[in-house]
Amino acid sequence: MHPSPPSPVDLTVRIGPLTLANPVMLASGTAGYGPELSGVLDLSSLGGFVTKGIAREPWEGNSPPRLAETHAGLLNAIGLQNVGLDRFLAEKVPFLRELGTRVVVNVIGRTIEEYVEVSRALDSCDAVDALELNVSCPNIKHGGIQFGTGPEGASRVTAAVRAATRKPLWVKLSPNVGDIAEVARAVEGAGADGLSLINTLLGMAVDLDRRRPILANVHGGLSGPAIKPVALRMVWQCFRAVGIPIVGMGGIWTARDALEFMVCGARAVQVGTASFANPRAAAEVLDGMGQWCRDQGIPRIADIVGTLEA
Amino acid sequence: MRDPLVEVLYNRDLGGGYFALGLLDPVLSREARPGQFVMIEVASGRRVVPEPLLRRPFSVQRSVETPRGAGYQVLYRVVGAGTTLMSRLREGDQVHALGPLGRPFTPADPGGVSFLVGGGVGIPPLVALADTLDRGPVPPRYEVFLGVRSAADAPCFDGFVEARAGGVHIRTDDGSLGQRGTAVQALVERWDRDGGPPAGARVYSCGPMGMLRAVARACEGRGVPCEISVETLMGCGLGACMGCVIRARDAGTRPDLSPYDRWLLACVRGPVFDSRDVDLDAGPPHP
Ligand SMILES: Cc1cc2nc3c(=O)[nH]c(=O)nc-3n(C[C@H](O)[C@H](O)[C@H](O)COP(=O)(O)OP(=O)(O)OC[C@H]3O[C@@H](n4cnc5c(N)ncnc54)[C@H](O)[C@@H]3O)c2cc1C
Ligand SMILES: Cc1cc2nc3c(=O)[nH]c(=O)nc-3n(C[C@H](O)[C@H](O)[C@H](O)COP(=O)(O)O)c2cc1C
Ligand code: FES
Repeated sequence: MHPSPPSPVDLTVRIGPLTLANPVMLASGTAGYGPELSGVLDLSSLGGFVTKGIAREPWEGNSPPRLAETHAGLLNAIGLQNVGLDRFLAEKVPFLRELGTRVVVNVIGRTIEEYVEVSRALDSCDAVDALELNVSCPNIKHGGIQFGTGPEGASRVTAAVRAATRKPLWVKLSPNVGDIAEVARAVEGAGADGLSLINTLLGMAVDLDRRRPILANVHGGLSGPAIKPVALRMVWQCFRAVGIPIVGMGGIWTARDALEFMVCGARAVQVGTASFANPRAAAEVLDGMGQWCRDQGIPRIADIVGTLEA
Repeated sequence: MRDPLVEVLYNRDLGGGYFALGLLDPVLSREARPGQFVMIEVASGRRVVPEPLLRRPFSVQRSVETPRGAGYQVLYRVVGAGTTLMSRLREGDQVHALGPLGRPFTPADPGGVSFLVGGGVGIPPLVALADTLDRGPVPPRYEVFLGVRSAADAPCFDGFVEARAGGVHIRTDDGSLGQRGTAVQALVERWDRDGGPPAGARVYSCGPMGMLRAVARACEGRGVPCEISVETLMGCGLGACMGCVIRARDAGTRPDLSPYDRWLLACVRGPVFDSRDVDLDAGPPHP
């Protein structure tokens, strides 16, 4: 007698109007524009791919050193070096169109008008499935404005972009705020279809003997396992505060990490820094998630979203 | 490019903090070009979350044939947490090693004369280059100029101890081995004695930043094409993190250059660059 084969787990998840084949995506800025990891990772096996932040014009980025390792974490101050909108459309989109997975473009800007222009241009780009507004990059400051650090700024930029695009609109929030739920509610009110959280936490690393900061930019954004507890807390707080779907990230290294995010309310997750240590990390996370569901007898992974008993 | 889990063939202590790591990988052994590198998972399999978190880049020094199969060797010096862990790898251990990565040295013209100029742990990729030249269709014409701080760094010369076509010149900062001086001084003296670099001269160099600056100056002043391999801090080795940048030459004043191209990704555009394409005075204050 043969044991009956385990029935396949339904891994699809829905983020607003968008259905993903599974909940695992690659996080912005950690997988380039697509081709970079594709030699060692089958991107079409994932639920989605988020590009490096795209601005209206190309940006130069910060001076090196741009990276510093910390215990269980990584500080980066890349400064959003990016090819800019025109070159993105001409050189990067053809590859993304053939990717076989959902393509989310991370949008950055120095002013609200810049966000709007990039978003409007992407609205007519068939290769793009959703926009992720990065209102929260800690390495860029212009005229003292950091949109993501307050509910007013975040909702202003969200509303302006909402008016310029019909694409699903996710807003990626900064964790460097006092009350994340307040920002989440403001962004929901301004018309966002989803929330991505969290971006990196502002941090610093020091070379004691030389008494100098390690990063040329002095401070940078902390990512990796060190920030997971903060990210889980914020996902949970926002899950209870808003009705729109949440995409969770921050220190996901294993399937269990990703599942914890889902139980706290994330419909999908993004894997970032882990891909540097292991370029197949996202695929391994996905495999482990399916396996866990089978082991637990869970037929649909979407059923675990927000099931935390607290 | 692949990221196989490979077996450690050996990890020999060469003394002075230097080690030679042999990894079993017939494919990479065959495919790697001189100047290319691998990203080694130094904290492999120790914990769910490794410490240090990131892999470390190392040049492929040479191919090796062993009874277990073909592989390649990496020559490294212990300088910090990652290389300390690496030094504890034992025969039979397994590590992920992603590669071959990066732009290799441009093959020399058959008629030309190559000058290989290396310093410290920048010498290993030049071994790969010399091996390739030796295997070329015509008798190779090249000379090797190597510099280290002192006799204690002699393990860096691994691969250049055996006779090489045009000879190997060794310099130490303190004169404890070979003559006192630097590799670049030796190269320049050589050219000056002959009334200038020979026709078809071409320089390949890898070593500390100070050495690369000196060799680039010497070559550019004499109209000699010069390729240098730079070492920057690398997060991924794949062009994904944008952490590994080096400044493009005249980046701020070239109207044709997009701001995006002012900082070049050393892991994909390099690590080998034409010296005239990069500005070695900008960027990380690495030794
Ligand atoms: C393309 C490439 C090829 C390389 N090939 C070799 C090789 O064949 N053999 C070899 O021994 N080393 C090589 N290196 C350097 C090697 O990667 C570093 O020595 C190693 O990453 C240090 O890791 P660690 O954890 O031991 O030291 P860490 O704790 O990370 O650093 C220790 C000290 O070394 C400095 N350092 C770290 N990385 C670099 C770097 N890339 N360049 C200069 N200084 C650095 C740090 O600032 C610090 O002061 C190469 C680097 C690159 C980019
Ligand atoms: C090197 C690097 C570059 C990043 N670039 C961007 C970016 O361009 N836009 C963005 O929204 N987030 C960016 N991020 C943040 C990540 O997308 C992610 O939110 C964060 O790193 C937390 O996830 P992780 O711990 O899995 O990396 C970057 C992170 C890193 C490490
Ligand atoms: S090392 Fe990550 S982009 Fe070069």
